[in-house]
Amino acid sequence: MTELLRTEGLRKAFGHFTAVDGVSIHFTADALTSIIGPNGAGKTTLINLLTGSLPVDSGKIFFKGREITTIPTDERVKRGMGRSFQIMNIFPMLTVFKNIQLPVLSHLHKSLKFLSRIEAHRDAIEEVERILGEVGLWEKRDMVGGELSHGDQRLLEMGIAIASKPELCFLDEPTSGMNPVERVKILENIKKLSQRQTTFVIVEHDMDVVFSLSDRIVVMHRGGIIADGKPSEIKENQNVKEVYLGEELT
Amino acid sequence: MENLAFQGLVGLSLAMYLWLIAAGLTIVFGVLGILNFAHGSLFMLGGYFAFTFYGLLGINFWLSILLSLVGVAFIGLLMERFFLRHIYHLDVPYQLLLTFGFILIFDDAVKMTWGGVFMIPPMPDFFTGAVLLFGRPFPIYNLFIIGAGIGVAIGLWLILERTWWGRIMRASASDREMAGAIGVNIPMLFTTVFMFGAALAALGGALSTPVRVVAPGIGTAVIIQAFVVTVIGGLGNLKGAFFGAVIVGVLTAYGILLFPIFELFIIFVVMAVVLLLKPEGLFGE
Amino acid sequence: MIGRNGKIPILLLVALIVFLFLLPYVAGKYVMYMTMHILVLSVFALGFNVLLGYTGLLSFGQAGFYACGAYGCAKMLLVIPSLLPGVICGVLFAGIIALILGFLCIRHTRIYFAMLTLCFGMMIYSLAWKWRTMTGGDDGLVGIPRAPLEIPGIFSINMSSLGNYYYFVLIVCLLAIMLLYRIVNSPFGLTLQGIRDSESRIAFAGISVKNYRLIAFTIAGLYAGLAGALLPPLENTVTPPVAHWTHSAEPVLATLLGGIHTFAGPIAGAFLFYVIKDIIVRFTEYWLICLGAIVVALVMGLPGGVVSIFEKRLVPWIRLRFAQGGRR
Repeated sequence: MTELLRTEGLRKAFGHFTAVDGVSIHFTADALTSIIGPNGAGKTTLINLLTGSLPVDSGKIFFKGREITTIPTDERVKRGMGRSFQIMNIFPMLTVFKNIQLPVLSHLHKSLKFLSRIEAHRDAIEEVERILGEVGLWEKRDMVGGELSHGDQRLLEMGIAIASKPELCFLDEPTSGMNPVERVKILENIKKLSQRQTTFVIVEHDMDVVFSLSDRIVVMHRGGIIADGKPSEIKENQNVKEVYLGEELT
Repeated sequence: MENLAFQGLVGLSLAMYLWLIAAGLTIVFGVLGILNFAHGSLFMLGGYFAFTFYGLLGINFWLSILLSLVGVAFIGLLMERFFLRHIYHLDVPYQLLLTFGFILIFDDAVKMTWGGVFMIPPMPDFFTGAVLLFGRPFPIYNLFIIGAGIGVAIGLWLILERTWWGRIMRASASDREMAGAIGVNIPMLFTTVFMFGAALAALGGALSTPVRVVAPGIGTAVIIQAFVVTVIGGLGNLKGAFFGAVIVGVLTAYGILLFPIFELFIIFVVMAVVLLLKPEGLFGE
Repeated sequence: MIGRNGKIPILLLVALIVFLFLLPYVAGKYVMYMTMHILVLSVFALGFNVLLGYTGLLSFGQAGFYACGAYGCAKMLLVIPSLLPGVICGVLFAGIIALILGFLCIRHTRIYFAMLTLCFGMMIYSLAWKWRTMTGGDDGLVGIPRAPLEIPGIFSINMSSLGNYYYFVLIVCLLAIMLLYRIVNSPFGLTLQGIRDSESRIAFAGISVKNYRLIAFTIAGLYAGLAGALLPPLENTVTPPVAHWTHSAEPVLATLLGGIHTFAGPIAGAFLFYVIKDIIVRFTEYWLICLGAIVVALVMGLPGGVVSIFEKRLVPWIRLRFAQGGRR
């Protein structure tokens, strides 16, 4: 039960609005966690704090035992974090192949090489081929990122996220806007990858996805955590039911 | 000591022109999100128009200034409506390139219309003369400029805080989508704000004509200074533009007095220092 | 980009290079002079486009580094009349200044960056203009020798004939272009494009954006410096206008004309720039307004530049013709 990430009293406010209010949470390597909660609960802000996209107001973050509270994002990624974005964030002018090639080369510490041809790095190319095969984008590898369909872009998003081989990977609404077929694909990928070395933390609204994937569910509301436990426990939780007022949790 | 105080006043009057341009630049950037490289050219056109009206055609000084504001605002209307509007969706570099293209056009257009030589506009009668300050004669006109600059600062504050249009400007500056969603006519707002910014630059140019030469190329000289002001003060806020202008104006004046060879260079050094210590500007966020 | 499956047929490229080498035998001094200027502007613009097309940063101050290269080379030549030390000195000086100024510029958003480059470029101009003792003030530096290309003890090639200097410029520029081609097609080049496409995303690929931008900025400065360093032996003088922002406009325009998103764009644009300038100047002295109008037209209508037309229409046509001809 290796602890991967731990926070102590994380707080973030925007003017008078407190988005994250004293959150203390930890994530271990063996469980796939989903973070759910109504809009404005602070889920994405929390992810932004954990990944370094936003600076914290107060509190601490520890990753693999070392404090990372003020460390920049690229450094956190080098230590083993990853992320996919809620709003599409691929490299629109690059081909699908190059979208994946970029983080792979970075992971292999080859990004600064300016005198060698990209094609010369066979190890990177093989790794890109492998990842494209896994997410199912091999046939579309020469298409420009910006021209892909929405579902394919989401797959590419995931591909980019896992290309750096993160140990802890945050997925921000990975299935939003997808049709059922595409959704199945993504879920299969997540399941497959979580059996290897990646631990996923997923922010989701779709309860089917949440309950089918998660080992653990964390419920946020108004910047704080109101429930945290196994799916069966969460389903019965009175507070959670009130917060989702009338919504069916399946 | 008196010399320094006097030179400080000189710098203050210089600062007011910079404030007028920087204010227009900041407002346009804050609401439209566009950095108008050609803003200095609008300053220059304001100067040329004012000079033409009162220097060549003998029209009343105040009326000339008003006419030059109207003229440049009209040019601003054409720029925004027919060119800028179509590239809002493009990347930042394209917007910069477009306004940069306008600098080239205006510089030559001015040469074609008024000739390439610099011209020295006359000082209006009621402003000739000087008052004794710190033991030296200080031109009355410069006092007027300082007053005008402060007047504009107060006027802008009033507009932004107290008028409906001003409030919409502030709302759109902080959240364009929201503003559009609550029914603000964004295209109309953009056009009027751009015209307003252009008018401010033109005011600076028009007011500066009696004390400066009118020549092609002053547009770019002045936009560089406006950029320095903006970097020092912080892009996007008027307080920064005002105090940034004061700093640059006063430092330039001291530079001319104390280090005549490097007076231009000093401003850049100060800018570099601000960049190192507080990159978002002294008043920026 | 080059090669059978690439966008520009390799045969065309070889023919062009051969033509350039034969130029002194078929053309007069004016054409050689023009071609050298086009080559120099190509190098200047290619460096500029590393920042714009590949990293997404628009710099209006490249003339400042060009001037560093020019003045650096000139000062060295006035002390040691030997071509190689002069050019190397100019390039290195430009690179060092680019590194220092780059450190101040790249930490900011693209808009701030554009403003800062304009300001620093003009700062260099003001120094060149005012610092009489170092730079000769607005008279500039004169009497710069077209020093021989030599390695002491091994060889010495006299450069006073225009033809000889032409070959020097041609070879240096071709080498520089080849080197840059390798750089932009390397892992580093790919990373730059990622920075251009999405700064937020690339942080999550473990890339520290600032470092890469600084390197790109320095490369652009080095290439501007090389372009500038080739100038003094040709013209025998260096004056402050080489640092003025209107000179910074030249690589901007060349790149816009030729195309931002391809490697060869700036080269084609440099050629077009001189052709257009030559034509316009015959009809009117109002060269800037035409230039400005072209910029506006390009931004509004044709952001891909001329090379995009070339790729989409001409190259397929050429390939089709050769395929049908059957003869190689």
